[in-house]
Amino acid sequence: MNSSSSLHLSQQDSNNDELNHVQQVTLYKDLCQFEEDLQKLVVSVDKFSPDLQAAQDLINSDLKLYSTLEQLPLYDSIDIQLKQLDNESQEIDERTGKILSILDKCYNNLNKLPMVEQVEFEMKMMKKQKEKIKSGVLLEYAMKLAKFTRVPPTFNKDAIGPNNFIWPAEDAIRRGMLAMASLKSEELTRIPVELNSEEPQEPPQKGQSQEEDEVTPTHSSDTPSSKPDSKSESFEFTGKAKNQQSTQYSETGAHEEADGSIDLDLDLFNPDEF
Amino acid sequence: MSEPPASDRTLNNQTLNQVYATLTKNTSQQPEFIPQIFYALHQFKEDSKSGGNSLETATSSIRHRIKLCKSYLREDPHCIELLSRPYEDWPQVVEQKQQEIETKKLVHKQLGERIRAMIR
Repeated sequence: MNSSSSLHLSQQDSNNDELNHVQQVTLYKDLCQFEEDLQKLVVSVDKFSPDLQAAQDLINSDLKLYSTLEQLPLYDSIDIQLKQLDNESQEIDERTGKILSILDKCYNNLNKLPMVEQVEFEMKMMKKQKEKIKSGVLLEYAMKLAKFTRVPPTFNKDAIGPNNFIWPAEDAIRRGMLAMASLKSEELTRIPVELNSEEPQEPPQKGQSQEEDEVTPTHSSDTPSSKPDSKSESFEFTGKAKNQQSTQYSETGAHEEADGSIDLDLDLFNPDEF
Repeated sequence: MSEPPASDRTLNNQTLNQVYATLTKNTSQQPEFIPQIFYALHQFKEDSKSGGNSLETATSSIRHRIKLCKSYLREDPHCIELLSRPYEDWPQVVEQKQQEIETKKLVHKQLGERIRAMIR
């Protein structure tokens, strides 16, 4: 009930505002004045006492009303200009809104990117970290690896030129291979029958057979009857071999101690050779 | 090029055109106000002897046209706003709006130049 009455009051207020506003319009005032003067004249005439002043006022109101009407085309031209300007302004505002939204997106995207100072700082840190890995460390690591490396198969040994290779000298390679063979002596010297019975034989590899040829050149000649295929004698670095090795070590404890006491300093490569 | 007579002129604004047509396009059924009132008075003088129509009845069409025009004006707030200012004030308002638009265009142009400079 209260809400409906308040709504009714608000509507009345808005109507009153509109009425007050429209009463400020000259044309509307002239129309009201003409209507009022006409009513005065009509009333006086219908009462058979014509009021001449009312007739004069009516004529003046008519003149004023039509003088105001003459301005309507001018108002119309102003209205056309205003509409054009409003349309243009609206287009510019819409464009401004689009530009602002795009700039806002760009701003957010730029904010997501790291700052230039931060990037430069990280680049400096990266460079410093790279500088910390010095060539000496790399060379030392390379020399450790080079103890067991071989001459690349593509290298032409007969070629004449400077002898600054990244691999060690031939005698160093041989010493390295012998050291490796001494570590695996039990594996290399065990009976091949046991190998065949305990673990499945891996398919022979050409590289491994060549390695064995270099490491144990006399091994195949020692047991020619028990192992006709020399490629099957190549040793493998598997966990099973270690287990077998441990059982064999238990049988030959003294020999194990002797192997354990071997100094496995494999630093056979002399960097001065380069 | 001469202006068309007021009765033939058409305005772009719908409300203004309706008011203008109602008050200025005079025909035999819709004559000018003062001649129509004069004729009504004359008829009243003639008919009064025989006790005929009153002047109020004879001028009812004038009052109807005036009420129509008032209702047209009341129903169009844009037209009320347009007519509430004197005509002489409007050129200044139009010029001010043109300046605002030029300022906005200038801002857009400067912004475009800055963005192009940043991209380069």
